[in-house]
Amino acid sequence: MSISATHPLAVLSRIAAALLGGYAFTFGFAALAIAGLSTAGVDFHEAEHGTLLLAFLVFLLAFLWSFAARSLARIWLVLAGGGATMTSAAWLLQSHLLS
Amino acid sequence: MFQTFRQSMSWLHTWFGLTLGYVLMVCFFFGALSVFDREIDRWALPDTRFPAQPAPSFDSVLKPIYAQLKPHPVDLAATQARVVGAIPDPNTLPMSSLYYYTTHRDPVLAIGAEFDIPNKPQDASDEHQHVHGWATLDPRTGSFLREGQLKLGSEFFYPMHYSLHLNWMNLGYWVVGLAALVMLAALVSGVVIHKKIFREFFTFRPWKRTQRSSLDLHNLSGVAGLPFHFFFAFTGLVIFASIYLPLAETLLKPLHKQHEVMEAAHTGLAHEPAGVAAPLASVDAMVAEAKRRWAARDMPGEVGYLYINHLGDKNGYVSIFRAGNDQVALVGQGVHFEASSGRVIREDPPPSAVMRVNEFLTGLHLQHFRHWLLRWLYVVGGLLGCVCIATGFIFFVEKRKAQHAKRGSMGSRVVDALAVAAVPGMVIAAVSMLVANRLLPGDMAGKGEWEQNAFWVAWALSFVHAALRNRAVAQAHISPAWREQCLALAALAIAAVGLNWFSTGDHLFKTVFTHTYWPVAGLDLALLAAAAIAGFAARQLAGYARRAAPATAHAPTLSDAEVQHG
Repeated sequence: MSISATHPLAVLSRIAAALLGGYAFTFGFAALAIAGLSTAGVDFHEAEHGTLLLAFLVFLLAFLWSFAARSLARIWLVLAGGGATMTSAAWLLQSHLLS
Repeated sequence: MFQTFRQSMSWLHTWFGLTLGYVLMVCFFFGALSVFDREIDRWALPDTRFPAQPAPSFDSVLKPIYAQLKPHPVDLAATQARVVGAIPDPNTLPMSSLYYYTTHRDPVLAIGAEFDIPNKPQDASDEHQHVHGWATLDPRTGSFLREGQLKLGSEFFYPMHYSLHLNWMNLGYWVVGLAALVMLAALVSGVVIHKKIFREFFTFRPWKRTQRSSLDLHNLSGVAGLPFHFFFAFTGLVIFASIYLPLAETLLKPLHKQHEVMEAAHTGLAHEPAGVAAPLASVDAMVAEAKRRWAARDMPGEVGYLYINHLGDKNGYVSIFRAGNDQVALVGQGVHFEASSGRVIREDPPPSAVMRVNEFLTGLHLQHFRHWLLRWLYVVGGLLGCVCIATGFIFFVEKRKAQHAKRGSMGSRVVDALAVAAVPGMVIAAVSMLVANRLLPGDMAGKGEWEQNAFWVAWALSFVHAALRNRAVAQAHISPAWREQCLALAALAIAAVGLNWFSTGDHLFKTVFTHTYWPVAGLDLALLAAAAIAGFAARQLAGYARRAAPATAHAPTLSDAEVQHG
């Protein structure tokens, strides 16, 4: 990357990754966990409540990691990419389950 | 971005703590007040100063009252904005469901209902085709409380701590949710920053410089309150999880819908009305049967929550839940009846492990159970959180103000003004609201609106005053606004106690000794304690100012010159 890691834009990008990327990752995680548990036969509300208990801890870890990790590109890739992948997987699982 | 893990955590702790600390102050302070929200309601509504009541007979007292309940104008207006065409005359809308909720601390009963509307929604996916009505009544007489009165505790301070009263697009909930996440991150990063965390727990050196002693107190309150603060920030997120991660309403809505239909089939509680009219059997008999079943399970109790769905329809059912006075879960042990016959459809089985964990965590946060000692410990914990955050602000300012004064930077002045508004200013706002409550006549139209105005105006004035008076910070001194606002707070708190006495005759001697009524006595005593603490703080600050003045008598002119020539 051409701009230094302490450049204001890099800092802003890191904060955005921590908040938005972290949210996307958490959303994807929760969606996939609920859809996955439902597929495994767990009651929907139980899957939902159990997952949401974990979800905020996942968000917390993602948030902290965004500041601890070195590579900004990797943070975005893991959080936003991971979030999108898990969300899509949850959608596919649900479609499969309801078909 | 950072050389070491500790540096990254330190950066995060400082800057996120600074920006969201103000929100966290609000959450912790008004959260601490919410522990006694019902009691603050009693203070603010003298008509309701009587002992807690069990829910009255449904058939003879409540049924005719529900017949008078109409859609609330506020919700009517909000719903009108979401649907196509005008909503018909609210007096003609059929009531489709109703509820009441009460706890061991409620003299008055909160009731509510949903009314069906024929309008189509503007957004096809919006399935919420009701308007809501709600009211509060005196269960001894069955009369409604006067409209326009605000329950300061449960309708203002309590929602303040999770929504900031910013209701547009749920903005306040999201800001508070972000603050809660930052609180969790601040606790983790705070532990990482400090290697000698065990020793810091026992370190407080009030005689040292303000910078050192404020950091000591920040560490001490942070470590001592750590489990409490982590728990409340975390469970706060869990309670509103469906707002923050609305999966069942968005991505997984199809799955959720399918589950609801399956569950309705499984429990026998109809998801939709049948469209066939049916009468309502005696609800009192159902309540008696539910109580009999609870007693048979060796857990006798009162009704905490009663809900009737599909009113007047063949599919109608009555759900009766036991009040959670003696358990952490808010309510439980539901028994469900067919509305038309009073036949028991179902008795809820004990909750599963996941649900029990969930009920335990959220119930421990919301604490509607009876345990007065724990209730006070919650207040202490909440205020400890405020101490932790406030000392964080003070440390931030103390650490930087000398450098800022040299450089002519405004940074620490801005932070200090905000800190004054967030610490004494926030308490001034809350107490001003109580003063306004006792000064304004009880039958004044829109009294609640004026009380809210008093709150916001007092808070805004506190900030303006803090900003105007803190030139001293730019010269590396403590702002006199701290001391002045502490004095104002002490005066207001004593005024509130005095006004309560003059306007209602309920002075402390009466509420403690002759006609003991702890909800009012407790708030009066808390106000006097606040006045004492604020007065003590003002005295200490005056002492600091006197000691600092001779040593640095020349400093102002010097740094003024520096600022000008900066």
